[in-house]
Amino acid sequence: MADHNPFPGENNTGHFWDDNIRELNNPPPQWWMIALWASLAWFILYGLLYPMFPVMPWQSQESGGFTRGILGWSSIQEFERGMEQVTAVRAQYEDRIADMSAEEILADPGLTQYTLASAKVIFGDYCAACHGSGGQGNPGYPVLADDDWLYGGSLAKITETITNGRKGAMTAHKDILTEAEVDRLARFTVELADGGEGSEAGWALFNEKGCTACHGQAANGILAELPDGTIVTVGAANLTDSIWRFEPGGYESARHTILYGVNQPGIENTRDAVMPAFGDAGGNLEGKLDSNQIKKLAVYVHSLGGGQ
Amino acid sequence: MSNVTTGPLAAGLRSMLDVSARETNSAWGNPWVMGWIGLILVVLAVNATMIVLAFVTNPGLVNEDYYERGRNIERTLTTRRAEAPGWTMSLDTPADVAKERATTVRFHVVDAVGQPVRPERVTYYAYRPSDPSADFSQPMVEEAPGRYAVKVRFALAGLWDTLVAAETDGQEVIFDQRIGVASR
Ligand code: HEC
Ligand code: HEC
Repeated sequence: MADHNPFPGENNTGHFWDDNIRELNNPPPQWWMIALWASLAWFILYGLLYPMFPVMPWQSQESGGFTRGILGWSSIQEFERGMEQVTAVRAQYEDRIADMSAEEILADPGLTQYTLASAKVIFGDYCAACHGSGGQGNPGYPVLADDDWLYGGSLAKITETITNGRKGAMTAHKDILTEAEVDRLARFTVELADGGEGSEAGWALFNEKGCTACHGQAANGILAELPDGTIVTVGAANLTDSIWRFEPGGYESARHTILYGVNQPGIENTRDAVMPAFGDAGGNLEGKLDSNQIKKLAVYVHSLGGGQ
Repeated sequence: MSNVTTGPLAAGLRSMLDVSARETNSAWGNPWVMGWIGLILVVLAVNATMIVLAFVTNPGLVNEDYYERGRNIERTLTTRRAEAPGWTMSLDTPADVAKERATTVRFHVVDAVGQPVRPERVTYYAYRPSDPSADFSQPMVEEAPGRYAVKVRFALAGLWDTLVAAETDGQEVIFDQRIGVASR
């Protein structure tokens, strides 16, 4: 072949087509060769330093079916170190929260953020079943994400509610009032809820039958307002807004509440409305929360939208 | 032409480039023709597979008696309204629901005067609109009167139609909610 090479000294392979098309024998470019050797070196070095080669692939990872690498690195270790860091950061926050009041926490945006994130989980575990995953309420359970409060939306009131629980009580009036009176009072409450003023006769009856004793002179659930702004209630619903404590609300529902009352022992069909107590000073009873958790929850509920 | 390599590959290459060879041989021997025919066959096979799959995986969400149902829609609606017990229901799917994460879903139900209802059986259904093989259903457990819970795990992210069927005295009341499941 070389004898017939019409292009001597050109470093071709001796393969020709159509007289002058030919295959040359050029070496690959230098940068390419460098990259090739560098990758090979990288591969070997990496394999020496880090876990890589399966030696006994039929063995599980735990029993070491692979080379460990000189550095002894493992992803589990890295994960554990990360978790330690998280715990350390958390401990910092937790220590500060333990020494602070709910008000002080709310005044510190960074701490508030941490508290809300942490309380969201507690809320999901302990409160969401009744009050809804976002505090949006459920038929029979009050909304926590609005500014309509039975017992008050200040941090102090919320903390008190969570710690001691609540159990609103309303007398059953089925044996006290006549059918006609119940009907008029139920209409009266619906009228108020729909934004009406309420007739004079309605207010008179409401007063006469002692409804004001719990629902207040203005039927808004407020019995008195202390000089420092604290509101005194017995948990009686505000009848002057369109929010119904017992859904679906309206005439039938109001009538039922008036007839059978709320949480009345021995009365069939009475409304069941119990907020369990979560307070536990020792923090070790099952289903109970320690004071830090309650503090976090108070901040959380307060920030749901209706804190006062 | 000097120095042409021999061997089958070179021969094939030569016959592809060599016009005179093509004129004498049958067209079937030509790799270009074979290639094109092969391509067309592949396309047809893919189409056929798609058509078969479309029939085999049809969710079958159509009712057998759809025609009669259509004619009776007015009566159906009226009876439904008459039979509807006037319950107030809510289905609470946590906002952070995500694929492959255990999530507790709760169902609340009260009657027309706001007292809790205790149906005989409450079942949770999840329908994947685009893939019926992912559908599932689970019984809900009573936590308190009128409050039912079930722990579910959605296999896929995206849209799901969830539905709770509450059964009392052979009558079924249905409450549905379309939800979006996050990918993580
Ligand atoms: C078993 C169901 C249930 C659980 C669980 C529950 N609550 Fe309640 N909660 C209620 C009921 C019922 C009421 C209303 C009480 C009443 O009407 O007297 C209530 C009332 C409240 C109120 C007062 C609302 C107002 O308008 O003043 C707050 C605040 C509250 N709950 C917070 C929580 C928090 C925080 C948790 C979790 C630690 C929680 N609840 C867990 C049933 C529950
Ligand atoms: C002993 C106190 C008390 C008396 C007296 C009382 N209520 Fe109530 N009432 C309550 C409480 C407490 C609630 C809310 C219960 C809860 O949220 O747990 C309530 C709730 C209601 C509701 C339900 C409101 C809603 O949004 O669903 C109506 C209606 C009502 N009361 C009307 C009356 C009428 C009318 C009278 C007079 C005949 C009356 N109440 C007398 C304490 C009382």
